[in-house]
Amino acid sequence: MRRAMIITVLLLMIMTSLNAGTLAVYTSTIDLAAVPISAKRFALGVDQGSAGEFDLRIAPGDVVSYNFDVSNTDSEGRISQVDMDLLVEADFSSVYAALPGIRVQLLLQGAGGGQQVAGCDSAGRLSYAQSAAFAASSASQMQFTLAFSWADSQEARAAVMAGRAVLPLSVYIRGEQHV
Amino acid sequence: MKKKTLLLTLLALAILTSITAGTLAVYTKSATIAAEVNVKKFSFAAAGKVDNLLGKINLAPTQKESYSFSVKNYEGDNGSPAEVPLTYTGTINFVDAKTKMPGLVAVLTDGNNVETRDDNGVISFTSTMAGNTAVTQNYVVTLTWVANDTKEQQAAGENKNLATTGLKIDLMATQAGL
Repeated sequence: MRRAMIITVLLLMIMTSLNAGTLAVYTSTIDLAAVPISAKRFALGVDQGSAGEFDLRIAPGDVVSYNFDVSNTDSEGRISQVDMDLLVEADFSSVYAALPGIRVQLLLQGAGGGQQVAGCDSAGRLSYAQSAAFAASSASQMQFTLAFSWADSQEARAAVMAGRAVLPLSVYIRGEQHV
Repeated sequence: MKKKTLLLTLLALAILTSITAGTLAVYTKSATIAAEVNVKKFSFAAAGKVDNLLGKINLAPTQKESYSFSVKNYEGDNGSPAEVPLTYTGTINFVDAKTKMPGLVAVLTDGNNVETRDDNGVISFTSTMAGNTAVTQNYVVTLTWVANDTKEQQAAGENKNLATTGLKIDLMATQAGL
């Protein structure tokens, strides 16, 4: 039995080597051209002017303004590639508390001059929101004015007489992708 | 032992004889048979494109774009098909893009609307094609940038992150039925 096995194996080896070559199959490989994937640019630019422009001095009867611009371009002029909603918020509650009779309005400058788009509530808080304020890939700028008007009154003059007040002002501007 | 030795010797001689060729014979007669041996055709082709006019994949969070590709067992539009069945495997890789745009996901949809979702930026799939029949199999890869309001997504937009080899599709076909 063992001899028969050895003979069979040897015969098979001979047959295989005589019958040729290497066993092979067809293969083919394709690599499709790679496609770049990028994020759309998102840009919000705020030109808040110099520090001095935000150093407002007001007396009863005065109207003072602070101007700032908002755009959909960054500091290098690159344009946002998405539509953008805009939100402008400010908290002037400390100003309202310290300066009786003061009023703060947010104006949007246009061809016909400044139009009020928001005003502070009785507590001195202001909020302005515009959906799709900026269109994708189209450079645009919105010019805003914060107008502080302090009506002359006895209370106002009394506040002045109480001494010089330095009150902080902060404006929050947010751009958000419009969905 | 002697018998074994003899047997092995005989086998060795048989091998040597067949290798060195020539048949020992007395009468001989020759005949020539003329025939053709043809190699069976093997054909495998693929092509794809981005499904928009710009031909680019440029996304913001919540947005999606698709890339369509087809796989065939024949060349051109009317080429003759492969004469052997074939099996192919595909790999869709967008790992680099997923890293640069966190939240990016992909779904592969085949001609039967069967969907396969990515696993960390890679989708693998396999299919077969019969021989001697022109077969076209169509696929769509849909990339969606899922919004998650993270700083990473914000930074990707501000920096306009770019993955130059963002979407790579590799295909390999082999003869089937063996």
